[in-house]
Amino acid sequence: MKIAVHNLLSCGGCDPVFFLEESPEFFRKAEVIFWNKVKDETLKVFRKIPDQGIEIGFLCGAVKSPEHEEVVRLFRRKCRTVVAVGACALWGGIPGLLWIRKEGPRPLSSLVVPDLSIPGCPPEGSTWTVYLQGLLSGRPPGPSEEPVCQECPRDRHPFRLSDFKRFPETEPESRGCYLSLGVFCAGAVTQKGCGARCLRAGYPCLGCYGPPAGLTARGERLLSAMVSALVPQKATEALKNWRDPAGSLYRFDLATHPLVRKGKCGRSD
Amino acid sequence: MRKIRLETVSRIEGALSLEIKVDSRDNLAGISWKTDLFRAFESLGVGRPLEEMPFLTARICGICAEAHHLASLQAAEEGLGISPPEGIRKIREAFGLISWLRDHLTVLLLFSGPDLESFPSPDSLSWLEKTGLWDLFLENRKHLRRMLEIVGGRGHLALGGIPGGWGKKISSEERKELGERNERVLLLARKTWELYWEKTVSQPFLWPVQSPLVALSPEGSEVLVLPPGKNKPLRFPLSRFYETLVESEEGSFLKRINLPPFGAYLVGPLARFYLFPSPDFPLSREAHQALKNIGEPDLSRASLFRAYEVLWAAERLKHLLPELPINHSLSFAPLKPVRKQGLGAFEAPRGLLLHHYTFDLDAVIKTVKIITPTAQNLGVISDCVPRFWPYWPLTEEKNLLFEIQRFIRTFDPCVPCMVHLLRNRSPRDSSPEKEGQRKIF
Amino acid sequence: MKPRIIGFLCEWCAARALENLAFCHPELPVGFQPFRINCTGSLELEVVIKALTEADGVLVAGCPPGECHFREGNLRAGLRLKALKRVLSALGEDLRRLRIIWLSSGEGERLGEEIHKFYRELSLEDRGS
Repeated sequence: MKIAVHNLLSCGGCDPVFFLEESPEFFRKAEVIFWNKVKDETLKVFRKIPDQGIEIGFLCGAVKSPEHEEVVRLFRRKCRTVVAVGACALWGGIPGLLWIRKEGPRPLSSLVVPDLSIPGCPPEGSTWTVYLQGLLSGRPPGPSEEPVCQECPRDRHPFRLSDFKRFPETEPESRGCYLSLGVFCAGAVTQKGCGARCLRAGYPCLGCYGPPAGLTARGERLLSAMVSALVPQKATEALKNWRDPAGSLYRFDLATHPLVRKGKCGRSD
Repeated sequence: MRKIRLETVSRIEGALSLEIKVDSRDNLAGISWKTDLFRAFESLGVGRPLEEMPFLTARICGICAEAHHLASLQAAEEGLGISPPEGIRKIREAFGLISWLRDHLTVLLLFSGPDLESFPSPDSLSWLEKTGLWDLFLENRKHLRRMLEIVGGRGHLALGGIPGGWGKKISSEERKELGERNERVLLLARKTWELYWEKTVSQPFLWPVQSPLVALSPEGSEVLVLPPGKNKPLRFPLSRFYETLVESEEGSFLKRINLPPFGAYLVGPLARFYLFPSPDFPLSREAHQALKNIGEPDLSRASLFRAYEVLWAAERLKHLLPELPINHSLSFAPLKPVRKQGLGAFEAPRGLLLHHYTFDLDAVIKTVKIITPTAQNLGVISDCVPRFWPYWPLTEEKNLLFEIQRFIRTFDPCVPCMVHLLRNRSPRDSSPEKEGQRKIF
Repeated sequence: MKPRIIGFLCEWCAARALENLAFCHPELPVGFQPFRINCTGSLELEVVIKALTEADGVLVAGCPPGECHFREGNLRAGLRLKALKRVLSALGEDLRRLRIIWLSSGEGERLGEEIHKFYRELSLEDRGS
């Protein structure tokens, strides 16, 4: 099986996980046509490959420059299956926060339609396996319908809030749901699949796996939920103390926000 | 005048392209670097809560995420006036060592391995297959990922560090597992060292270093600077060193760092070797001795020093693991900064890494400055290309490009890391007059 | 281009106010597009965002404090929209584009005035004709 791997605007952290750790068997059987981490071939060589000549092309990262756009279109032409990997490719990722200052990267899906989208920053090894096995057996999976809360070890119960908190302001050994402690934990609006790793390491969910299937406007929904839990008398004060609204709601997907897409967002300094 | 273009420097972390101008007599007329990996972390960090910085900055680089995570934690903690307890420090050291091992082994076996062969070199995969280390390498990537997962909670892009503490607890079974896996890592470390020693030691010196070597002192409070030709390093407080640095733009978006009055300087395994004390562990002590005897610092052997560090890190880890606290209690630092700024430093696999933040009283970030190892080495790379130019095979373009790439790869450059310069917004502008005003001594 | 203002009017107050106003055959500015909703408390923030991408401005009109048919829908909506304004300002959005007013069903004339005022503030009045 011929494969190609390329990093667009990315940190380069998505691809080694799978090929070197999770499923080296797949990697060994595959014939790597193009991957600048291991081969000297340049795009020049890649351009000469006949259309549809590669079985699977993996693209990680977001799109910013004309060169990125060219590579994405080239991949779509040369590869029978295009797999978009990671939060940057799917929703712009953390660099998408640059849209606050009017200029940021776009997700890959704004240019071409990928055949498979593997979520995560980075996708956990097990996620790679689930998605890729599905693809190879002819049933490529989509996003899960269930949120990270399904995998979270913390205790859930109904709650009201008198204040918003940042996670280091909570009781360190507390076992309670971060939302109930007033922290903007993105778990409820993020699809499961990661095993709630951040929550098992003391962090709240920061939302890197993206929205569960069918959920739109996850940032606004999280905001609605949190504000609705506020005791009205304390609400004004709580909202005043809330830090970094854009970052806590759209950490990984600001680039896909409707206001950004319409060019109606962003301030110049 | 002709131009030689290299679309992508292969087998490095990130995408970097080169354009070399050569005059009619084959003299080098200019070299320019280009990358479109600009993600401006120095800009997108502004306005973020301080406690999220270790998580966010780990996303600067998918290869050395752990280094950014640890440097960022330290910068945050300096600002908050917190120093974590001994046990937490040990966990962090172990975390850093595991990431060193994964990074160095990947660079040695996947990126720079084929450079040990003469031109035209095979690709990494067939080279690894030939050395017989392929299976052991893949097995160890798995071990190392699992080890990072045990210590930090996530096998990739670093997690676990929270200002004032460490969020992932380690159980006694997990600690045992770490030890078992590290034995396999040590095996690969030994084999890698032997392979590199055998292939490198007999080669002639090619690229002697003529720049100062710089590393963070082992206890972390000072920076050691060894000017060329000297035996004894100069010592400077970390903050003084940071304040002296001058940054400028090289090519498009690439950050270059100079240290007045020296100019370009070298960080990384080679610098560390000449600046750090010799180790106490059997295998790495032997390797250290052997390396001491081969002579002056030479860039063509940089990989050998990297291989030595793999050996050292695996042995250090072996001694450190039994000391890791079991199921430590969690603690968070109060988000009340005692200073308006914080500076964090970590010896990343590629060399000295600095994170500097300023923040408001609520611990929300106002400015971010990140000085990466590659940005510091870029000056040496740029200055060396003209020096070594006459020795490269100029008539055969493919061969020339291979030699240049091989040279660049000895620095183990990391492109995603070094492109965070904010154009025209740098507080430390690099006009020559300003550079003249500031000196480390 | 014609201006466009989307209004979300609570059926228990603002929507009735608009009906009452209609009896007086008032002149409303071009491009005002009212939507009847059953309570401002049922207005999803997602819809507000969508409206902001489509229109020049969004007007949300609900019952005065303490007069909500569902007891505290207007209170909740007020908080949510206030929070949304913080988000919009963090995103660099022009906050004048989202306007929230509270009025009862008898205040038709005031509604008309508010609509005109909104157009004036966004400098949309001249674009209409």
